[in-house]
Amino acid sequence: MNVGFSEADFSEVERRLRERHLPLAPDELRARVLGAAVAELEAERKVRRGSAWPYAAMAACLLLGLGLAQAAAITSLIPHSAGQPEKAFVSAAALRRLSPDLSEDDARQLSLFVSLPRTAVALPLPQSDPSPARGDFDIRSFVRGESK
Amino acid sequence: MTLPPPAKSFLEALAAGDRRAYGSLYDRLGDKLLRVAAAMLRSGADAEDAVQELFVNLARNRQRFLAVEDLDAYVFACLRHAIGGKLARAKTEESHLQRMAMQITVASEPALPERDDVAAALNSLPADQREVVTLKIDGGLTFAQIAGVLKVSPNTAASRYRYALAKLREWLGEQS
Repeated sequence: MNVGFSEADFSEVERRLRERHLPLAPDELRARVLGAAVAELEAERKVRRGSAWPYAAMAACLLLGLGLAQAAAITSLIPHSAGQPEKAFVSAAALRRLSPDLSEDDARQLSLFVSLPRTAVALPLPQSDPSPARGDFDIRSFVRGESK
Repeated sequence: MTLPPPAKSFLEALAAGDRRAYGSLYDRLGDKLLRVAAAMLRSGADAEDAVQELFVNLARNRQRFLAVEDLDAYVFACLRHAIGGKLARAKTEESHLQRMAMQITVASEPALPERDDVAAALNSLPADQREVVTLKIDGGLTFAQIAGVLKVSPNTAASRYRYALAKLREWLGEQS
């Protein structure tokens, strides 16, 4: 087949092609097409907005957890067992039952020492205090309300 | 007639999901898209569905507008994708029905009536030639744009067009 025509050779065919019958766009098609496109845009925005909630909730939980952990850490620094001498005495009695050779004072000191938090640091008594001897530690000095 | 290229800000508005930009895009290409879809699908209702599907896909993948160099070619390439999907689904459905040998009457819309000889002649062309003709005549694309849509060289697009028109002229000459 010869395809070496100039474009003018096809002008009649092209004219007839342009004028052939094709369906016209109905009036409502524009609204329908754009409505579908906008619905897609809106749906995507809603999904994006909705998908942010789990991350926000997770962040809130993390913050809450951090806050609680911090509060717990601060609380553990307080020597709360020192405020419960009666509990220490119960433990002292238990120690004396286990080891009858212990004096009442030793058992009491030991029970207080055991019940102190790990963060407590033993401090030497002031030198002006004549008893006990210089350089010795008296566990009662750490306990609130146990001053001599 | 080939349209002047749109401003970059228009592509950015489309990428941002601006509703008015989508309205402008429809006003720019809607009729042409419908004509091409109707010529390829031979059904007015299917063509409307294809155009609607096209706009939904454009909205869904709107970030791609930022990388588009030729808006019209891009939109027609997307339309071709939507048409291809519809044709593939129709073919699968048809072959499925044939396999099942179902004696049912499918109440589908009849194909577009071929009211004139040229429409019948166009429909008798191979699909690749019919596609080039309808993109050129109904879509108003240049050969360079058609080449971009079909992923062939501009020479191939032009050559297919000339073959198709030669056949049409021959066919119409025999008819008259």
